[in-house]
Amino acid sequence: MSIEHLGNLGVDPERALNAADFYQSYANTVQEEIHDVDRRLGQFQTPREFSRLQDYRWHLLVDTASSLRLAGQWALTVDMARARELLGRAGTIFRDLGHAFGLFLTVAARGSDLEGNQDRLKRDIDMLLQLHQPQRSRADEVQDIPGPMNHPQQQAYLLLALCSIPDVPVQQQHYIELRNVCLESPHKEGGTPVGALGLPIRHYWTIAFALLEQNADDFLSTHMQSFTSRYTDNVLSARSNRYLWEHAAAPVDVADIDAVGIVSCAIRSFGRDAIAAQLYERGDDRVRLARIGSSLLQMGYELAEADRGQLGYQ
Amino acid sequence: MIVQWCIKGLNMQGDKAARDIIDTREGIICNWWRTVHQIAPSEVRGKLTARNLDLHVNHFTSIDSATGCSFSENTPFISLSCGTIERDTAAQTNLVHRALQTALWFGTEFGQKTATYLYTCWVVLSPRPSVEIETVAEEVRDLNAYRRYSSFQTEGEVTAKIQVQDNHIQTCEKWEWNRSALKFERQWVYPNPRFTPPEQLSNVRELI
Repeated sequence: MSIEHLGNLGVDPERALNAADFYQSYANTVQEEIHDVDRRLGQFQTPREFSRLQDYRWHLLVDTASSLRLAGQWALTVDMARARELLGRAGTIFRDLGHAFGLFLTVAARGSDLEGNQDRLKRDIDMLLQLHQPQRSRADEVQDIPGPMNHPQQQAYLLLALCSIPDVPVQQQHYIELRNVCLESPHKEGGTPVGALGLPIRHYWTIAFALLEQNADDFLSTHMQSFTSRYTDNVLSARSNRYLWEHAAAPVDVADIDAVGIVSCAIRSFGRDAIAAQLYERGDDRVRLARIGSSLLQMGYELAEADRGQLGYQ
Repeated sequence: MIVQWCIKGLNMQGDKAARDIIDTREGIICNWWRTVHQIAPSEVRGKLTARNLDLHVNHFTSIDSATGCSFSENTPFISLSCGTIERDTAAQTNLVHRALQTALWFGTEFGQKTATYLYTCWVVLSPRPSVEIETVAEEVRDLNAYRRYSSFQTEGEVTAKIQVQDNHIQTCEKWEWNRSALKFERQWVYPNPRFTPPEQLSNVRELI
């Protein structure tokens, strides 16, 4: 990330690097604890102790994934390749725990691995169908829905991730199914708050539809304005406590992962040039983004760039 | 009353200074006591106020108009990490913030130092706000008790007053942050020979 953008955010690169190192180190330390719990689970335990250890293991996994996500968010400000790796690791754990947020993170950071895995793609799309349009679901393939997927927020992340997979639009059946979910779900007009910024779920649904339809026109100014304005408010409020902000200890996300992830997904879906033109046309009235918000979108652009030529990038 | 296990993360001058908290039987004392060297019981009452607790939790480094100094220099409170659960309504999930992470974060001075000392100790908590009562700690992480919004609730803080007595400290652990391997490593554990287990306070009575 450029010095200009770090300056806009008021982030000291050294502090940001310290914070990324800290959370990654903590995650690695907790992972060792998980190995220890696994070892104990492999030995004889009373049913009560076995159940307690399993529960504890789940907490440690969530703690690891959350810490890797935090480390990745800090790395977004100083080292994109590292951010990509950390967010991808966090995404894999969240995904294994049944959180579609994990799929969104991995698609944003590394691109989709579903293109080469048609069974998994079909299963994920059918999960959305079961949740939104059970009558259209392939009845003979009813699957167990992971608990977290019953929450609208996780459904939004799944829809975003699936709609940004580059070859979905050309696969007619998948395209029609996702289009139906986009257009017929009550969430397309819903107000349920999603993400750290708490934006209404309808924003996520509209963005997913734009990604699916390959509608790149004015994408940033049409869809990301609400993210950047609320993010700017949050950052300015947090910066009022200069001590905590400068020590990388303010209790706000320095990089909003939803906005960064959506921009990265958009680049994967539309291609680099379509988004770059909107991000860098400073004189264009279509993009009137505050400097802080612009820095946020820049992170999403650079995250996708860090992945160029690698898995899933077009 | 509730007995609560806690961790205090401190950045100390070295191993001897860290062990001295146990060896000298001083325990963990508040910054106010450290700053003025000697405190009197008559002064304590005036320090243990709701205003000062709010300054400690939410405005730690702000200038205190009563003294003209940073509040942190004269706080009668001691922040302890206990972990907490954050209810994330947007994600419809409960996030766990562990005491170990918070203690390491503060003990390394926000990731600026590579060594830290973690003290595992216990305090007696009051289930309701009781800031004026010196002998009980305040559970400021508890939203049912401390209802005003605090940005720092997720730090999972319990606030002790004036001193954590040395016999409440079970161990001192030295943790090194290995920056090249990117992990934290426990170097040693120093047990307190005079530790008093809190089970002694159990309310289960034996037959006479």
